[in-house]
Amino acid sequence: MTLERRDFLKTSALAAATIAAHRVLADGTATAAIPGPATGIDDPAGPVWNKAPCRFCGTGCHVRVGVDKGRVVAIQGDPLAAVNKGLLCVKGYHVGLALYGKDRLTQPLLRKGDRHVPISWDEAIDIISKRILSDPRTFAIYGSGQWTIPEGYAAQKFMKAGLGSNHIEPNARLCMASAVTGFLAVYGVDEPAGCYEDLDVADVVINWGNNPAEMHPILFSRVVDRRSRGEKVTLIDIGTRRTRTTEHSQHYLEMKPHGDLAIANGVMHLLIKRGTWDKAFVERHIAFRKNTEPSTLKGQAATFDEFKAALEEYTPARVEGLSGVAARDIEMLADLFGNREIRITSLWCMGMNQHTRGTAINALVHGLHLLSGHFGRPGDAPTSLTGQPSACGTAREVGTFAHGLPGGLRVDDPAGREKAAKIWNVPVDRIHDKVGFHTVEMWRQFCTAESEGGGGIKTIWVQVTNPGQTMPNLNKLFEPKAGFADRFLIVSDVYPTATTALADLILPSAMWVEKNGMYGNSERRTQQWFKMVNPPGQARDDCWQTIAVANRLRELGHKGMVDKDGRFLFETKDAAGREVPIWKWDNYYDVNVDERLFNEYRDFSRFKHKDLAPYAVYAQARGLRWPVVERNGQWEEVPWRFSEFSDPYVTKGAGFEFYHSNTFDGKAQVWIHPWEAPPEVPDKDFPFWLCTGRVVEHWHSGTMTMRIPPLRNAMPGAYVEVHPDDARAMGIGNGDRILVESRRGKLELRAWIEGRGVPARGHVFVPFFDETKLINRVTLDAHDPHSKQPDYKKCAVRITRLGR
Amino acid sequence: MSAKPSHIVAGLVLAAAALGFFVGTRGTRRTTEDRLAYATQVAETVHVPMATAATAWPDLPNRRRGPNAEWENHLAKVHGEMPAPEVAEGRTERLEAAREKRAASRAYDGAPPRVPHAIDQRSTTACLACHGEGLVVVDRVAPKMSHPVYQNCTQCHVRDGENGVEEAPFPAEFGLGRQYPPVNTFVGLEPTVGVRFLPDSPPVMPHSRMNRQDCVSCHGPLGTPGLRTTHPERLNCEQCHAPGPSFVQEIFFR
Repeated sequence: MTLERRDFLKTSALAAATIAAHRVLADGTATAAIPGPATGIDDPAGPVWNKAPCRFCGTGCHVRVGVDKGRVVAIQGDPLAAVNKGLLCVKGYHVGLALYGKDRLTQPLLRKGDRHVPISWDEAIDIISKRILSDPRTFAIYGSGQWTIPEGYAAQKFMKAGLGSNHIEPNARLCMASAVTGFLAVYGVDEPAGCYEDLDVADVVINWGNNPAEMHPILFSRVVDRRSRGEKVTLIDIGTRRTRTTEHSQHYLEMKPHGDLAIANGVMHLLIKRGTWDKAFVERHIAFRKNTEPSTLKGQAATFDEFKAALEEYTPARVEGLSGVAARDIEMLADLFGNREIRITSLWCMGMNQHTRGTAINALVHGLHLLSGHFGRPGDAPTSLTGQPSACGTAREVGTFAHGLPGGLRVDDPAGREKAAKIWNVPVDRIHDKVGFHTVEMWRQFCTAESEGGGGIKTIWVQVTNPGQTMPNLNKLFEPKAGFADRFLIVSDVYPTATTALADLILPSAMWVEKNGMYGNSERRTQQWFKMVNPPGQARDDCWQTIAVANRLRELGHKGMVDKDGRFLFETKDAAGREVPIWKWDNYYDVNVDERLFNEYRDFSRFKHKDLAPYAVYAQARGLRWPVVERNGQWEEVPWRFSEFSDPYVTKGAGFEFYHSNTFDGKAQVWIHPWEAPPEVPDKDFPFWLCTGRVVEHWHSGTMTMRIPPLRNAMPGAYVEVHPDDARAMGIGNGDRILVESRRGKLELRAWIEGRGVPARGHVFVPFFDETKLINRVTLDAHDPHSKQPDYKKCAVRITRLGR
Repeated sequence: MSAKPSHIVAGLVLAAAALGFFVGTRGTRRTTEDRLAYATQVAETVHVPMATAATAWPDLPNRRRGPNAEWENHLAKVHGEMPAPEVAEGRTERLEAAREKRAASRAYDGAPPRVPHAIDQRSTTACLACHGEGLVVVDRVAPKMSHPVYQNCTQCHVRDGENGVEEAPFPAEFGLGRQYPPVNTFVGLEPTVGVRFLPDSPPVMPHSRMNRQDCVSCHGPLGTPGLRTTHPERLNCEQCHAPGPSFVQEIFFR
């Protein structure tokens, strides 16, 4: 389907209007400091090029999208983008193909018996609305870190200001919730203080259970390509599996699962013992913290002596016993951290987050950097990476969690509800004060009989994610849904997935450049793009779907869909001040709904100094890192937070200031967290560790990348990696059929020995992208007590050779 | 004069040793195809540990190392002849064939080409050995990289073909009319030919220079026939060949 001329003109007019708005700004009070186009150059000989962030991971590369005759025909790395400087990874180069899988969903489908039959959009919206109206308390929305910022904001407002319900969660709960609780426990506010420029100047880069060569290739190249220019950078890989990252690293410290807790404590032990911790930095900027009983994210104050005493037992010899990493390597790390002359950046992602002690290990690694003073100078940073394009921008900043409100506010804090109700112009008691179900509990409720303590959720609307493949322990948390007649699953997606297979109602969605959008990447960078092509068939924006249901509920008399003054929650006016019926699809693109929602959402960004600029400024930029502060008439981003040289919110002369400190004194917290054993450890019956993860070719559940021929051909299916010695001992050869079994489920896979990675002895690794081989039937649903994030990285399995 | 038995024994031992030595140095007769097939098999299944990780990349092409040091030595001896420079006759057909060949390993004009041979799944060290400066072995050409040296080659270039792990048939339970393996209807941007604005003027560049900065990679003596320059002795390409659409993309796309 080609972009109709009318639509094209409409899209162009929107872009032009946005630029015009920006120019008004320029003539008045402020200008954007950023060069950058909003529209492409229409070269008569070739495609029209326009900018967009990549659809895949959390790195946040910008691509240039070439559009010809209403279709995406080419992709280039954007040389003007600070993140990727013109380079992409293989997924990014082929991101345009994600739109054109032949089995795109193109019409709403309703389950009738064993079949899905086409229905109209009006019927679909009506079915959802009446289902909600009949029982709003058991309705939940399950979204993702791939929601655009306006989509997440609309869903958030619909649930919390409209339905007065807190049962909204993003899949980001499974992905970086422990990073969030780590940041909150240490700094009192979420998200990294450092940025990608740290990678350009760090002398040492430590990967904690992380494989950026495959998962964040652009950031990894940014480090290793420095060697091509003759620079020296030391890479240290701490993990349980040899990977492509290991190949580029000088040091590979192979650890036992949960060994990271011991290693961080062991290095801090040596810093204290040797007196090489940064006394001046600690004196001015650090307080110590220990757990309460029961434990909370705030904990209680501890003295330095208590901290020192708690570390006493973590001698190099004991740490070697707990972690399996040689004592001399612990000393090597302590030598590095004890040297203030060098710059050290730590990177981590799922290894530390999908961890039943995820909050603890996040806090420990921050603590290690703070204690040693390796913080806040370019190159000195503890930086967590995200796996989804807007895990930060939407899930974390818009706060689409069961406890969250936009801007870092909480539903269980009266002041937070007050602030949100004021911006939304709704009565404060509209916002429910009890935290909703977190992801694992939401799906357990949905998949469990009322007689067994379930049934708290009976309808879930899934947007932009695939829980049927990505939830842990699927046999408990997804697949039982099929057995309940009273449970209703609504899925908005672009392709059929393991989730749509059990859906009662399937809604076809527009994706990526088929709609306007905004994302926020791992380094606090907020990005914007315009719609460039039309979605196929009747596919429509997720944001429109939410607004259409809100409007239908209003029509059906739901009191929550209007504000105090009786105005629709998503009321949108055109330039002349007339209301536009954006709930009608034909009118949805008459105005820029993204701009209207974002500019409302902006008001929330001030509460935690995460200031966002007006929408029009982002239309001109390749993303800007918050806080974006208006200075000298220009909107300026802040690369390093909490450091005086970069962050205008730091008091002059302070050097560093943690201005959302949990102790209200500008200090960050260094925590005491002991080593603890994992929840399930291999034994006689299940003697192997199982770790799951990704590969460079595929992104998450493979819904998009498995439909992209170059990616699929390069990596067509899942496999199980076995250590060569284990394989020899068990008579396993390359390509043999292997049964991987845990206490929860089993799966048959082909063995790959000395392949993409080599797990440690006694470990096996299985990627999760392949929907025909669901490894999450085997994984564990145990989770961190604070973040509620499950551990996909370690559980006990046995493997059996079935034959060739 | 009679030889002492000990001399006879010593002579026999020496003769046997010499014979054994020379027989031993004669290699098993293998054809080039055998060697290539063997090399492919080895690369597919054996991961060569990087004992030489400390080697700087500029030294890599020139350094013999590891268990394959001898093989590399041998490889040098089978270096093919430098191809003859491009001539005008039959060039149009060769250009068309070259464009088809390029399109077969790229999703669109400007996409990173896929790798047509087995690769080491973890290390990228070996890539630069051939693609660092370009290489001809018998009739095979390993093209020189067209872009600056990046270290993480497999970040962009993936294997064109299967990874050797067999796929299970798609289970019926997911149904819903899904096509498996999935079909993709993407139609990529096609390469264009450089325009001559006057009959004898040099053609402009028909593509962006992004990651195609090194003209010699495709247009040099080792380039695909049809794309090769007729005048390899001239080194300052952009003196005559102006950027075409790429000029618009690179300069004014701001």
